[in-house]
Amino acid sequence: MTGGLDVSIRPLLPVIVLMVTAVVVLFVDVFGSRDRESHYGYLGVVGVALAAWFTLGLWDKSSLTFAQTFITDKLSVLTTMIYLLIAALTLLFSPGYLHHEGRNLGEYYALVLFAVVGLIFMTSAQHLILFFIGLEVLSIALYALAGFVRQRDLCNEAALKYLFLGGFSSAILLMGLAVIYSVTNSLYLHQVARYVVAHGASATFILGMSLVMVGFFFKISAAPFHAWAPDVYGGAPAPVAGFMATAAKVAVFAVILRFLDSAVFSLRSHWIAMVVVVSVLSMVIGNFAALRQENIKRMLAYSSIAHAGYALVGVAAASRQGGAAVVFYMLAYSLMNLGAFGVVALVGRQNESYVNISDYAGLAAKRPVLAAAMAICLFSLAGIPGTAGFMGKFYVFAAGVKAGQIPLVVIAVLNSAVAAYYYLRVVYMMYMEEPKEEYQISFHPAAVFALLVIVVGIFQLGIIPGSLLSVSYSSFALFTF
Amino acid sequence: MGGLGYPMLTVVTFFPLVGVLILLFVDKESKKVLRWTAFITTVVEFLLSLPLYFKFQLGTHHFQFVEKVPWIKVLGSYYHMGIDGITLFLVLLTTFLTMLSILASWTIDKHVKEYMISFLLLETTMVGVFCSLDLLLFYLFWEAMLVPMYLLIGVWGGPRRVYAAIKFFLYTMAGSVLMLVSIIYLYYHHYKVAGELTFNLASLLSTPVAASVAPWLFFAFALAFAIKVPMWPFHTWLPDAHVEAPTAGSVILAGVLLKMGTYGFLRFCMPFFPQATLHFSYLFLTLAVISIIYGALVAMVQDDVKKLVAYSSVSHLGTVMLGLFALNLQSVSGGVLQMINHGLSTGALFLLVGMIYDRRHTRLIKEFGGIARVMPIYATFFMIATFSSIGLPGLNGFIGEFLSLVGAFKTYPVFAVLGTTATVLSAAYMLWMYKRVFFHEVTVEANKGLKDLSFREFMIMLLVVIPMFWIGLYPKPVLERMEPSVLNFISQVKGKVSAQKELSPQGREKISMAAFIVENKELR
Repeated sequence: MTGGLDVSIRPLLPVIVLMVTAVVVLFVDVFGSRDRESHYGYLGVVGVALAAWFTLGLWDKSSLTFAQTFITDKLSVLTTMIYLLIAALTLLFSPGYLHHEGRNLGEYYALVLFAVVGLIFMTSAQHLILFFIGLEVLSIALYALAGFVRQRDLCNEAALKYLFLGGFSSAILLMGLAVIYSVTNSLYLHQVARYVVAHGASATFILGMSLVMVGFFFKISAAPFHAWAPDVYGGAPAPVAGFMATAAKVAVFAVILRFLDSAVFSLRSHWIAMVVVVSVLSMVIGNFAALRQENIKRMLAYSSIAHAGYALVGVAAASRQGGAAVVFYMLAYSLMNLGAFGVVALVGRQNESYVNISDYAGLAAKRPVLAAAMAICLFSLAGIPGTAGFMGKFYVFAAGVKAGQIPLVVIAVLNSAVAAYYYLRVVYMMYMEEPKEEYQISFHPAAVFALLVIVVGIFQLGIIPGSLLSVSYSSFALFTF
Repeated sequence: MGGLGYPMLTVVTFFPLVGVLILLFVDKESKKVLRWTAFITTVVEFLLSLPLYFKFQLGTHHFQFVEKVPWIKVLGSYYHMGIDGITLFLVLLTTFLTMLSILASWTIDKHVKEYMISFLLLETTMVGVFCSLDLLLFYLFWEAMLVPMYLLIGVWGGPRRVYAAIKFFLYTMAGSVLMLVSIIYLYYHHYKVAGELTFNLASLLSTPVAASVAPWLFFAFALAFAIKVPMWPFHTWLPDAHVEAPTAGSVILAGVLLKMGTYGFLRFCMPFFPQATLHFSYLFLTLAVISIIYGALVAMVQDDVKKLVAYSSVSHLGTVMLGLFALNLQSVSGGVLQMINHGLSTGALFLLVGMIYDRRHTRLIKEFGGIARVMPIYATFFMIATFSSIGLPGLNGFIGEFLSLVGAFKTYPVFAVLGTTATVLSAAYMLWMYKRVFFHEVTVEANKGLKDLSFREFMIMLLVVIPMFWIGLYPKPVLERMEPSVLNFISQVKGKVSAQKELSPQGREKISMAAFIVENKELR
């Protein structure tokens, strides 16, 4: 039932714009003069803005094109907008950082843009092979980005670890897809669904589904498949770590929702149990490990494991509201996490020499604005009302309660109280300790602008979230039967 | 809307943010400007809150000055504000104490700008907590309040400030997140029953929950509020937070924040789950009595004045809880009044302790003695605050304590008798402390040259003493504003029938008897 090859350029316009921009950046890098290197980021942002403009035009124009493999719906539009926002913020944070490291090269920006292309394909895939290709496009870009500062050992270690474990998890995922295909003879989501409804789930199919889920859990760094995350986020350049921790997670969550809804919704009694277990493990392991971290990047890595756990509460709700809550949560999470990693990049300075929590002592006295931005991001991560983090958590937990997952929600809220401790520790360092040294932090205007956007976003989502909650709800037409 | 034709509660809640905005643009080195800006903001804020009292309509328990605007439409949450006869005084207490606290913070010299900003933010969240009639909005203010208080304790506190600040934050947060789950449950329960998504307090109250889940929800709420009160055995954060907090922080902590716990019981926990409340009332009465006696006994052995006052709070708040759970007009009125009184008297004591600490940088009782000789005005004010705290007739403390114990005696004589030990014990530890600090000869050399109160300090104390006498001598304006709301509370918990009984001639006679006694003291 593949139909004719209905080629329509329109849904692909954002992707095309991004790829053209990436290529232009590469060409400028090769043929342009060296002293224009700081302009790559801005060029990238222009491309991202143009792509965003085209994406917005697709909001009301759902379509299923390219032999029904490429779906454009509100979910894909909204998540694409989130990727573009993440990419723009990353591009703004990067120039100052890369300049310090002496690695301000065009290919960095091109790789970020290529990664976004992969992300868009992942969430727009109606066919699991297209999804897998998107995932690989993303992963290869991320492998290169993780090791971008190649003179640093930690960076190389991060890239290599990510390559091995990423390849490993991709293999598991692919194995799962193969098993599913062997049972259903198709990798179209809707055909898989039709098969499962008609024939019920055989043990083989459950195995395939479980392998796919494990692959997904690897990619969102949910426990017990999280072991790579602290090393990779800790070693990768801070802006890249921020990008990896947000963009990839948003995309895989969107894919999880799409897969669970469109392909295996009828098996929800099986996967809800799986999601609940992984959610609890992620929250508990992530939070308790984060309590003991001295390196702020590793702390944020463990915290991102815990956040994957919170978001999985929304998945476990298996409802339209739960899905919408996950999307909203991902947006909130991306903002605050990018902000935190952005500050880490600034405070880290050359060669990331200052990435321990103790290096933040007295930051508030010396750099009040930077410290305030960090504090806002951290309070948001801790889920204090008035910030995006609270609204995200609230919405996810509300969906959980509505779906009757009350014990899970109780575990989640208690975990968020534990989490407050390690976020507060950084706030305490910044505000309540005396500065040990002079902070010679050079502000790159682009990074400052990005932080401003993030802070405004955090408050907007935290205080007047109404319009975005409606958007995420209307974007999420899944789980409606 | 009512009142003066402008959204009064919004103005009162958010006016401090205007001050914050101005402070942001003041140079951080010009400390004088910063202090005055903050002080003027809080004075204007207090003046803005006064019309609430004068425009308040008597004889109704309905919420007044109500504002209701959609806030998050998808969730059915409204920006819904309103006050009744109980929150009216809590709001006034908040604006009043904040004003004095800023005045008492003149000696803060470190990061003045950030200090004042935190304080004004704190004021907004505190007023917001008391005015919110939408549970999501309430939770927003309730939890957001932690951040400025955390910073106030952690940045400007004493030597172990960081430990105290984090303990305060985590304790409160751990309690309140469970309350959040409970709120969400009520929200969906109402949706299932009534088909309407809303966080409106009145709507949610109208949908009772099944008896099987009610205890769970009840305890989730109760835990959040019991930690805040704090009731024994959840009190351990309090001595740390109080001792380490800067003076003004302690004043607000004792004066306002603890009241949020008792207020939470009164407004949410008990009315939402009347059956559970009645079912577990013995548990809470027991905890209240333990808090009363334990707090007093521990206060007795303290060698640090501030710690002593901190533990006395545990004891006094126990009386409030006893009054609330005894559930009759006198006891609840007394409990509510005691909330205000404790704010004033303990606030005053913390202010006084702060003043001597500024001079001597110690609060140990043994470092003092004979202070009355060198600082007579200070000693006088300390005397008044002490008497207010131990409930001497003629001062505010008496009315609240008396009413709540008399009321409790009607329904639970045993608990009331046990609770009455508080009056004896508090007299013992306060007066004993007073004797050791103020009487006898000046033994420590450093105390000989102590200066008496400055004009600023004198003004602070004068201001705080006025309402003590006012409530002590003429509590009628307060009680009559409170009464309809208190009756409404009792009827919410005990059902309409028993509330009617409270209003029967006999019931009325009893409260007027209390008023009679009070008026007699006035004549005496």
